[in-house]
Amino acid sequence: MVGIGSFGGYVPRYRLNRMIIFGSMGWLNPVIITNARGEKAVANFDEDSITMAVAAGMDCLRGVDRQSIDAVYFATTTAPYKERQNANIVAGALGARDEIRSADFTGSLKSGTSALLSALEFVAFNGGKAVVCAADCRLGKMASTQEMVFGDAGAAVMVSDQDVIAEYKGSFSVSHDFVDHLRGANTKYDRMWEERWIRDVGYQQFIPQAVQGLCSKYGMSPADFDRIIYPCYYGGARKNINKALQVEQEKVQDDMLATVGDSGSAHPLLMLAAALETARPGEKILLVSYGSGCDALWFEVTENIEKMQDGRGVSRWLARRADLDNYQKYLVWRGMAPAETGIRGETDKETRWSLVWREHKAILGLWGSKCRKCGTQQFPPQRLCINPDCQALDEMDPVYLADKGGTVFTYTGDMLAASVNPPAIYGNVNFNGGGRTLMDFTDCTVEDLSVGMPVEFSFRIKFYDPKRDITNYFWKAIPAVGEVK
Amino acid sequence: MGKGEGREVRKALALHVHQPIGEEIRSIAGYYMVLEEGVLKYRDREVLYLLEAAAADTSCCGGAGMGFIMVPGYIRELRGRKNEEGLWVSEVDRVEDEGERREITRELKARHPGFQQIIFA
Amino acid sequence: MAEGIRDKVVILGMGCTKFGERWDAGSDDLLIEALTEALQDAGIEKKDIQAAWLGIHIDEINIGKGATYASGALHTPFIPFTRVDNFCASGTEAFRGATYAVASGACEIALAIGVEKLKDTGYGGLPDSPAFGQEAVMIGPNATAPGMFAQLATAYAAKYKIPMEKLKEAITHVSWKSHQNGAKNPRAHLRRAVTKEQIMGAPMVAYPLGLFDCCGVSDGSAAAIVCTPEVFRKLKPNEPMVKVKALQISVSSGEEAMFTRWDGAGIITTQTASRKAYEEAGIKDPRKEISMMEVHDCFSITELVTMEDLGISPPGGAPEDILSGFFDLDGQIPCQPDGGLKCFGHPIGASGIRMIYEMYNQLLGRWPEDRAVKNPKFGLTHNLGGVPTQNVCSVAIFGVD
Repeated sequence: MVGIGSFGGYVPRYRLNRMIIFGSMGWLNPVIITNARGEKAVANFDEDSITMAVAAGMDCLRGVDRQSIDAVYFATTTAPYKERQNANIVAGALGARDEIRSADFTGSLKSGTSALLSALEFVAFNGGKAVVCAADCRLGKMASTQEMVFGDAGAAVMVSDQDVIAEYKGSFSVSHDFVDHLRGANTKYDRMWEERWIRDVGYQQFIPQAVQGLCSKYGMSPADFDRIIYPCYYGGARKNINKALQVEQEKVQDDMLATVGDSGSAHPLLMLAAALETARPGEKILLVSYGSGCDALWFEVTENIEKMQDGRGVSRWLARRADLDNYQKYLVWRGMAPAETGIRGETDKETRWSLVWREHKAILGLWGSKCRKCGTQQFPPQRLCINPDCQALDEMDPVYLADKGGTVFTYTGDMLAASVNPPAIYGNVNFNGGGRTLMDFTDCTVEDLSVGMPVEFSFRIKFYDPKRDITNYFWKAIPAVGEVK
Repeated sequence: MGKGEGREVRKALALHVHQPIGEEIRSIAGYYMVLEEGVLKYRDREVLYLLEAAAADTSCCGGAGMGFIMVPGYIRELRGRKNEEGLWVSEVDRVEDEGERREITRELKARHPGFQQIIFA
Repeated sequence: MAEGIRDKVVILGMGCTKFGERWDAGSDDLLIEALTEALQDAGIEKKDIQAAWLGIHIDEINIGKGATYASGALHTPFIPFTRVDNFCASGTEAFRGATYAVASGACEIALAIGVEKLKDTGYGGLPDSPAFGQEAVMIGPNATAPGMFAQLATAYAAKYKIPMEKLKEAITHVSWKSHQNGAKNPRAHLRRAVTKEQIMGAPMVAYPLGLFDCCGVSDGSAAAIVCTPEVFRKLKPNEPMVKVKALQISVSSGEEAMFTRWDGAGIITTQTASRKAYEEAGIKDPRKEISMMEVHDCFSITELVTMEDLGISPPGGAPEDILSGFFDLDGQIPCQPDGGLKCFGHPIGASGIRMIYEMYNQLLGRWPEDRAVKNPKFGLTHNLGGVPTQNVCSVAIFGVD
């Protein structure tokens, strides 16, 4: 049986109330008030689509042996690299082996479900496990509808041929060169055509077309499904679609527009993760994506679902929130406005790729080493054991530390370090199981920290080199997020 | 100022010496100065606070500036006397309660956006 | 068992420039200024120097690599001149090179000179550089020295269960004392006494360190000419002789950064170097025998933990000693009689030699009454480079005969 083995979600900590956007930009384009309800999730200054995909992947892979993963797919329309496999960065962070299939899925907002379909077909053909991580961090211009509607988030699904929590039953796809939104290869901000056309011709025709296609293919009716998941940020269109499909409102999954915003290629999978948090065995789930066409996928929940309802998903990330009370901060974090960080902040940092390759396990996956002689865990990986009473040479086994967590040993908040989110917070962290390292902290204030408190690790942008357009990543410590059972 | 006098000031709960407005107080790493003094009505009491500016312009490592608000405490007697250097001295009750500190911080931040640190003496 | 260098090397002469924002002076001017004073004090000529060591850490924008900039600026006559760098302890490293040369018998008169010209960077603070290597650029935190040393305070407060407010009070006294002492010193970068209330009123720079808890950057140079006791007696038959009683350096093993045994509330290298130095100098009870100290007070919390690491204060006892005035100029062991890094200034490569300059002049009783330490017997210098997790510490002890 092939289907979903696990799921995960991720919503960045900072939320921007849309009234703040209106308050800042409504003078220019007052009509944005029509979308000004609720709040949107905004990636921290050190987050992008890759880091959010990893965060969702880490959530999804709790308790999963990383060596058992056979494929890692990354879906996004906001990949930081055009050439350099983004999925390999994600796979490295998740601690996957080198001998895996990897691919980036991009170009449309349905790329998340396209990646999921490929993963399902990969596992159906090869067996094993395939992980799909999707995330988007799309930008609308200041005072645009897109700025109001778009939110940043990530979601992940692990496909497996064993112990599945939702069996894959079938799919149906439609593909159209329907240009409602677009970004050229060198364009930063989303551009859209008339909204009434997008709503009436796009969402309201293509989603029913895909659903009807799936139903007639398998002899089903939309009313047979217990949960229907589709993205559409037009409230009126949602009503019309539900009516066209003749499905009851309560079976339709909440679109999280008021809490997250439209997270692009991740959004269908994010809504799926939220649905799986409360799904009951036997439920039939219909998942539909939208963007240059639609994918419709049919799943049936199994008895195994309860084992995975341990806190993973979206809720705990939604609960972990802080107000981003400042529109200008959002502009700077998202690179929409130039900001002065001082001459010291302009220091040129060339990325030395041969070094990065030598150390890629440590950099991407926070791999340390563990001494076979004395059992001491250490980071970065050592050849000579750091335990002064041992000092064995070349007796090390690699150890994946990214999911180990740790405790705060020392910390500070530094107003002098060049940062777009001062103070820069960092300190020494003791890894659970041994070893210590000095690292950046993020998603917290100095007041949130104390010596001895538990932390977990989050893959983040380490620094960006504007001269060469290189984004470098590494792990940071964040206060332990609500417990997963 | 004699040895240890700073400590006595703290323990005496509540003497605040008013530094001259706009006068740089310099260390080797930078300086700070009081920009203006303000009073916040909080419940039935008045809180004395100072808007201050600082620049770590010659510090070992990095450089930074910041706006901060110093809160000496609840006013008992404002500018009741002058000290031997001719500076005004007020009597205040320190704000010790964590809940009160949080609320005062929130009100001051709303009233003076941009100030990064609220420091309770 | 190695016998060390106790009493084998003496100081013949020293020089130290005024530290500060020396917009008027380049590295060459600073080197010349320090050496000229040292030669005058030594009563020798430049050609009498047989070997030289240059201590400098970060100032490559001015002097480049190697020691040829210094030899060219000082026109030293084709003698060996070696550049040494060990972070902020570079000055004492240069001094070690010179003393070891003399102690070994390789030469009779040697020069240690340190310099740092930091005010040509275009901004306050030290130049950004991959000081801990390229791998650290990829995985290390976005850190500065104040933030790295500030963590000593969070660990110290947690270890000794001392409220942060109390610890702040003790480090406030540390800064207050340096300002008191520095105000009296005409060569100090900053000559300004401040009140404790002014120190406490400053904002946080790196939690829990405030603006007055941090040192600054200065331009400056300091020089020491060392020789054998025999040469000294020949040149200065009737003058008191300042001898090197001990000079020890300890460098991190990596343990602090990666192993979990270190408590984070002190500096292991200081503990190691000082124990060895006391042994070399024949000092049994440093709290009773050391007369005065110049320690590396890059941050006030560093000075606080150093009092314990040097074995002067008992573990957890430094705040009490500090607040009781034990280390004040009129206390039992005056610490930073010249104002320290925090007021005298910190041109990195020169600082270690500047500390020795103060001990040397105090031992010879050259300072005016208001900043003189009474009847000093042993003076100690403590010069620390790097950050608490990864550092270099030198401890030197000087005595007068």
